[in-house]
Amino acid sequence: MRYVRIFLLEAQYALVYKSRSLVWFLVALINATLYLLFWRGTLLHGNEGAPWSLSAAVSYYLLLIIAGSFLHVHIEEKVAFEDIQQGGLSAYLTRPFSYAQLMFLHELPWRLVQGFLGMVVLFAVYQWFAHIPLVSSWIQLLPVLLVVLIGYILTFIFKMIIGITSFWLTDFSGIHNLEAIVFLLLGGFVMPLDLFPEGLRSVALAQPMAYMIYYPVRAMQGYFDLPTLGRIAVIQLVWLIIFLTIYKRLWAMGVKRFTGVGQ
Amino acid sequence: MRKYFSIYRQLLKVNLAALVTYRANFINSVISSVAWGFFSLYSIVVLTSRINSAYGWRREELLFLNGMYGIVIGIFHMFLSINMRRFSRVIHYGELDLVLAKPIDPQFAVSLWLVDYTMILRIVMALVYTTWIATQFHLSLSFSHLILMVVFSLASLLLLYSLWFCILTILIWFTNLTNLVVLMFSVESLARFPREMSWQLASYFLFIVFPLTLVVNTPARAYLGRLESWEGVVLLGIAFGLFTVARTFWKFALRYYTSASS
Repeated sequence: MRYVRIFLLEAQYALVYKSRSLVWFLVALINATLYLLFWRGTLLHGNEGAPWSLSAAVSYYLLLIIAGSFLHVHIEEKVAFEDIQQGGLSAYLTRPFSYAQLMFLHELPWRLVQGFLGMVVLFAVYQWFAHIPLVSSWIQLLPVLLVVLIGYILTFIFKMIIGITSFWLTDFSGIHNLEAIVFLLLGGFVMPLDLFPEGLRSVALAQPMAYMIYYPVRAMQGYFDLPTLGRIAVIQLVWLIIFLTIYKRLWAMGVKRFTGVGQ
Repeated sequence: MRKYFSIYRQLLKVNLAALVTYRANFINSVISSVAWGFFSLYSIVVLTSRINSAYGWRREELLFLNGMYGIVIGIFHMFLSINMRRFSRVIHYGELDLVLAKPIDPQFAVSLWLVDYTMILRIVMALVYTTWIATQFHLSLSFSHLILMVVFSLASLLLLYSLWFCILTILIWFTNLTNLVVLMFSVESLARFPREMSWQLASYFLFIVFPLTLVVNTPARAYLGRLESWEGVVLLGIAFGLFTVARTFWKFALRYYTSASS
């Protein structure tokens, strides 16, 4: 019950700053729209051997807008800048909750608000463009939601790890930029990872960022059968255990280095 | 004017000193700069790996356009966008008072205070890549095209700066919208695609993004000898026009600035 109350308080905060959520949503929308526009013109003007159809591209980038809004967690900047660099962490350390739990409850409402905006766009476009492939079977929907949920938690822990590197770095912007690039390219934000050139493709499909964004998006497209969805969920759980272990180790070491300055 | 050149020379020195003071961060920034350069160039290589053309641009021309984007945006990030990031924080945390109290033009102080030297690597990468693409695919080059390309690249930088500054000035009223900076990074990436792509947008969206469609596309087209005369004139006109608008809007917005303590 305590967690629900904290979540509701954080939800109020997220709803107060709706305009900030809207800007984050626009970032996801613009990124996906640019690539979609590129493919639209390319596919409509006939390119022999083009790797996918227009409807598949529309579906992929539309779902990417939702994934970019709901799954693309942005907690690392708050953790690194506001809490560690500026000293806000002191206030959290004195509370009878783990820092990660509080950050999870802090971030979730923002994701839900932005994910909702993404859903609105999806349904609006679906009205005009009804033939986009989406998961349609109710039997598949549950495992798909599971893959999305684990993808979210995986992204959250990954971003927390990025954030707490600030314990060791004077300025976090360098690693933040680096992470953003890797995430964009290997998360599937440019184009589906299975359309990458041979060689890069197998590496891209095996790394953890694919399990945060790409596989959940493909799962929502109805791209995988049940056994494949099960396999993806298991690999996601393995990555989750690895990241949780890394996070706990780094947190234990990092918090000893932290010196809060305040009134 | 001489005073501002002198201040800027000092700022260049201070920024260089700050860069080498924090070594871990310096190495970190160098890696991220190279990685961004790589991503910017390689993402289009990946995107176009299975197609021959898009919007009337051959694949090699698309790669060339992307290389040009790397150069122009690299310069922009080195001298300007790094200050825009700072600008959003300065306003959000109520630190603009300190800027306004200085006996120099506040727009100069918020726009040119920082220099990101690590971007040099990204610019060099883009330069090498663009030259390699141009040589590899025998893309035409004449001296006049080269001059035009440089002039229009400078105009593109002015246009980009003015656009960013106009948008971020809104922060004076909406201080919590610091993520507008991230939005601008997304919006500017429109410039790495062929201009014709934006023509698919509805007219009201096209009206908004039209200035951006001239950035990078115009110098690239000048190099490729595909430039229509009106494009250059429009780019120069919009760049100087928007700069005037940005300056006027900034001065207007400052009247509404309330510091964190007031």
